[in-house]
Amino acid sequence: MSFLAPLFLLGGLLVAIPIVLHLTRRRREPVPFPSFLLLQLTSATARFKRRRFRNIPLLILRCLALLLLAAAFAEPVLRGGGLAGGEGTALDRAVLVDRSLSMTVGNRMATAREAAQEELSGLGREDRAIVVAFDGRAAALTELTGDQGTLAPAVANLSVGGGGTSYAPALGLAGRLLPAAPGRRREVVLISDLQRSGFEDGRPQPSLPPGVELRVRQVSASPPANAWIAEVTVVSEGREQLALTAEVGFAPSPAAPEWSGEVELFLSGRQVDRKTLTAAADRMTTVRFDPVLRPSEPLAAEVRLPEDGFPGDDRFHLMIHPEAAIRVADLGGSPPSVYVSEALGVGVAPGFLLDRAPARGEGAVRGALEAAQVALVRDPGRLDAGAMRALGDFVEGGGGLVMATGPRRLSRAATEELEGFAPAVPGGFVDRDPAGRLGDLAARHPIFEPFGGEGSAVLGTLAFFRYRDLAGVRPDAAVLGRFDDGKPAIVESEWGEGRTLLFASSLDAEWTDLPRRAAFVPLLHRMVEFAAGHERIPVAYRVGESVDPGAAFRLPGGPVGEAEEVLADSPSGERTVLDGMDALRLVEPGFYRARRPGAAEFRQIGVNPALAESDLRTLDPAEVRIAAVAAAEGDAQTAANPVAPDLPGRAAAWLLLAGFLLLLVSEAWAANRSVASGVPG
Amino acid sequence: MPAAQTRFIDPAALARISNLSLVAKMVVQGFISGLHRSTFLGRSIDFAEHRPYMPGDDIRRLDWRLFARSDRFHVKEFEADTNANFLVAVDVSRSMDFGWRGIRKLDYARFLAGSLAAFSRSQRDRVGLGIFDHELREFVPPSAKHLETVLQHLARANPPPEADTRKRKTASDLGPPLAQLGAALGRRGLVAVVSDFYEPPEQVLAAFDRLLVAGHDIMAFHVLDPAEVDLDLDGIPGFEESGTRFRDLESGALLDLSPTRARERYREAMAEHTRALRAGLVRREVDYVLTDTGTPLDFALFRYLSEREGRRRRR
Repeated sequence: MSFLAPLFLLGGLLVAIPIVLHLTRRRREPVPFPSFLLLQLTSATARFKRRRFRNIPLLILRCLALLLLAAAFAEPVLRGGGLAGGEGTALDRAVLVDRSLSMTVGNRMATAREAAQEELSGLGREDRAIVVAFDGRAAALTELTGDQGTLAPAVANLSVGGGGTSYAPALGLAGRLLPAAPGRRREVVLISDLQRSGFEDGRPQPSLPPGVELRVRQVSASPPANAWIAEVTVVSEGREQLALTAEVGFAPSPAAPEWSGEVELFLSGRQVDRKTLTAAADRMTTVRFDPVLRPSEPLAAEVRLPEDGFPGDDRFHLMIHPEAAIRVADLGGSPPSVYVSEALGVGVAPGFLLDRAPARGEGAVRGALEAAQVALVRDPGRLDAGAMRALGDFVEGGGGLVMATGPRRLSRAATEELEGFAPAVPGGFVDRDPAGRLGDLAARHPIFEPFGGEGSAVLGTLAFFRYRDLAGVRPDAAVLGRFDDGKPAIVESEWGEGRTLLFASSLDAEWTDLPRRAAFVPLLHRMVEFAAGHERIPVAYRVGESVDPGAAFRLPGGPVGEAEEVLADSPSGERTVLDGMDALRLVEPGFYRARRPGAAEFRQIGVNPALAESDLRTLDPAEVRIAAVAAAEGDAQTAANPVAPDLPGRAAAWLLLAGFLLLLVSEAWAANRSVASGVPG
Repeated sequence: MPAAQTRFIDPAALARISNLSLVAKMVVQGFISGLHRSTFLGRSIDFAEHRPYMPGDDIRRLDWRLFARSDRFHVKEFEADTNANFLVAVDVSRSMDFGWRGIRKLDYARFLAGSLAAFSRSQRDRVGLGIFDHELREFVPPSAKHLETVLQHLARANPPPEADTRKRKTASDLGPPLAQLGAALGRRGLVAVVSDFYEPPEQVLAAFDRLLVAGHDIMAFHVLDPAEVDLDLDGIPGFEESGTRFRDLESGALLDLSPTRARERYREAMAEHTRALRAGLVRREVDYVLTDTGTPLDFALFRYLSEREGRRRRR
C-alpha cells in the first residue's frame, strides 16, 4: 500500500485531541453523599488518584474516525499485487526513461540515467526489470530480465532523441510488458522531466493496467527561459522574389524575464540576413527578413536563434522550392476587382500573378491564355462565342477555369460554346430576401481544406442576395455546395486535361458579402490552386509526422510505385530503405535526404521539433500519478477482471470516507446515549 | 411487595401529599385501626395509689368515696400522667437532605415526626417540637394545643444553606442542640430524636446522657437511605463503580473512591456504627429504631411501639 498524499497522514496526530479531552475534561458534579464519617474509613484501600480515560468506547470511536479521515485524505493505493503478496514478493519493474528533445536541457539526461541505474541496482535476486525509452513513441530496450549485464548497458547507452513527449504510449507499453503473475508485484518507474505538454488535452491519456503501481521520478528543476522558432512562412513578393517571416516565441523565467537577440537566415548554409529582435514574453513575435530571389532549384533554408537553455528548438529547417507563381488570366477583368486582386496578391509561395485579359475575340483570348495556368471569369456574359471557344480549348488542354456569374446574359452562341466544356450554364437570376445561405458542402474537397471540419459552420454564415440558377448540370459534374433553396452553388467538372469550377454567385460584393469575409481569401486561393492542379506541399515538417517520401521530397517519377524504392537518410545519417507505399516517420529535427536507387541527386525536406516540446512547463509528480491511476480506474471498470482485484486509491479513499461518516453517526449516537445516561462524554 | 406489608402506606406515596397534617392523620388512623385490640390504649388511665391530700392539690382529684368511708381526704394517683409531655426532635442537617432510592431522609423524618406527634396527641399528650442541626433551630414547647403548630413547623423544616455548614469543621454535633433542648424542656417527658446519627457513637450517647439525667424518656429513630446503607448509588449522574468523586453534603469535602473496592469495608463500618449505637442506647434504656426511607411509616411506628411495650412488660 502507498499513499498519493502522505502528508495528510500527519492529520492522524489529531487523535491527541480526544485523548487529552477524555483525560482532562472536567467531570460532572461530584456525587453527593450524606457524610464521609464512614466513607473515609474505606479510603485507605479504595481511594484512586490516577487519571483514567472516561467513556473508552466513545474515545475509541472518535480516534478511529479521525484516523480514517486522515487516511482518506492521504489517498491510499491498495494494489492487487500488494494485497496478494505484500512487500516480500518478487518484483517486476519497468523503468521508463524520457528521451524527448526537452531532456537536452541542462543535465537532465545524465540525471535520468543515474536514476534509472539506481532503480536497477535496487532489484533483489528474484526481481526483474525492463528498460523502456520513450519520447513521442515508446520502445523496449531490453527484455524483462533480472540480468544486470543486460539492463545496465541499455541505460548507459541511452541518449536524447528528437521527438516530442507523450506519456501514454510509454505507460501503455509498460503495462503490456509487465505480465500479471501470482506472487509478483508490478511496478512502473517513470523517469522524466514531466513536461506538461505530454498530458495536454486531446492527446491519449496515460493508463496503467490494474494492479500496477506507478512511481514518478522527476529529473528537472525549474524550467529555464526559452526562446523558440514556432513557424517560418515563405510568401511571394512579386514575380521574382520571396520573403520569409519567422514567428518567435519566448517563455520567460524569473532570472530572464525578457529576451533580445539576433535572428539569422541561412540559405544553403550561408547567412543571408540577420535581424535583431526583442521578443515579448508568452506571445509570438514576428520577424520579417529581406526578400530573396526565387531560387531556380530547391534551396535548404534555416532560421537560427542564439542558443539558450533549450537549444533543441533554436533552429528551424525548411525548403524553398523553385516554383513560379500561379499565373491567373482575368478574362474581361475591366474594371478590375479589387477584392480578387487583393486576395490573389497575398499568400504563401508560390503565390499568384494576376493578369488582365480580353473578353472578346478568339485570337486575343487565346493569346492571353498562353501564359496562364488558370483563367478567371467573373462575368461570363462579357465573353463572346469566340472567346468562349478559346476558353474551352484552354481547359481541354489542361488549363484551369474559375468562373463566377455576373449580371450579363450570355449570347446564344456563347452559351452553346460554354455548354461544350462547362459543368453547367448560368441561367435565370435568383433574388433572396432574406439572404440565402450556403450549405450541403462537400467538406472533404480540397477547396474547403482550410476550414477543416468546420467548413459548413464558416461558410454557412455567408449571405447571398442574388445568384444565377445553374441550369443543366452535367451528369459527370460534382456539386460541391448548394444554397439553402437546393440550387447548386459550386459545381466542378473536368474537361479534357483541365478542371472547371463554376460559382453561381459573384466574386464581387454586389450580390454577396463573401468578398468582405475572412473566408474569401483562402477559398479563392484554393479554388485557383485546385483549378491549376497545384498540390500544396509544406516547406517544413515536424518530428513525429509520417510522410509520403515521393510527394514530400518531390522525387522525380511522382508518387512511389509498388516496385520502386526510396533511400532516405536522417539528419544523423541513419539510412532507411522504403519499399512500395511505405511512409517515412520523421524522428529527429534537421534535413532529411532521399533519392531513388540509382539517382545521384538527393532531395531534402526540413524537419523541426514538435511545437509542444518547446513548452517546458512541468507537472507535479502527484498529478501524473493521479492521471495514471484515474485512467487505470476506468480501465479496471471496463476490464472486469475477477482474477486481479484492485482497490485503486480513489476507491479506497471513498471507502475510508464512508467509514468515517459511519463512525461519525455512531459517535453522535453514543455521545447522546452517554449524555442521556449521565456518563460524561 | 410482601402480603404482610400491603396494609402499610408507602412513604413515596405519602411524599406526594403536601399537607403534613393529612399525612400524619392518615398514618395514625391506619396505625390505630391496626392496633384496636392493643392493651396500650388504657395505659395512661390505670390507677396506681391513693395519697393524702396536700394543700394545693386539685380538689377535683379527691376520692369522695374513700372520704365517705374514712372521713379523710385522699387523692387518686395513676400509673402514668394522662397529659405527659411529648417532644419530637428532628435533625435537619444537610446529611438529611439525601434520597436516591425513595424519598429524602428529611421528608421521611418529617412524616415520622408528624405521625408521632399526631399519635401522641390522640393519646392526649402535650406535643412539642425541636428542629436542630448543629444547634437548636426551632423549638415549640409541648402543649395540648400545639399539634397544628408542630405540623406547620415540620412542613417548613429544611436543611440550612450549604454555605453555613461549610463554615464549620464538624458538620454533625448532637450535643449542643440536645443540651439546649433539655434546658428548654422544664418538665420531664418523652423525647423522640429523629436523625441519621452521623456522629461517632460515643458522642451520640453523651448527647443523650444530658437528656437522660434530666429524667426524660428518649426514643431514637435512626433514619437512613437504602443507597447509603449499601453504598449502591448506581444511576446517580457521575457515579461509576470504578471510580467516583463524592461530595460530603455536610462539609462539602471531596473524596475520590472506587465504590467497588470500598463497598465491603463501608458496609462493615455501617454495621459496626449501628451496632455500637444500638448497644449503647439499649444500655441506657433508650428505645432505638433503625429504619430506612423505604420502610412504611405506620410499619415503623408499629414496630417501635411493639418493641417498647415488650420492654415495658419486661421491666
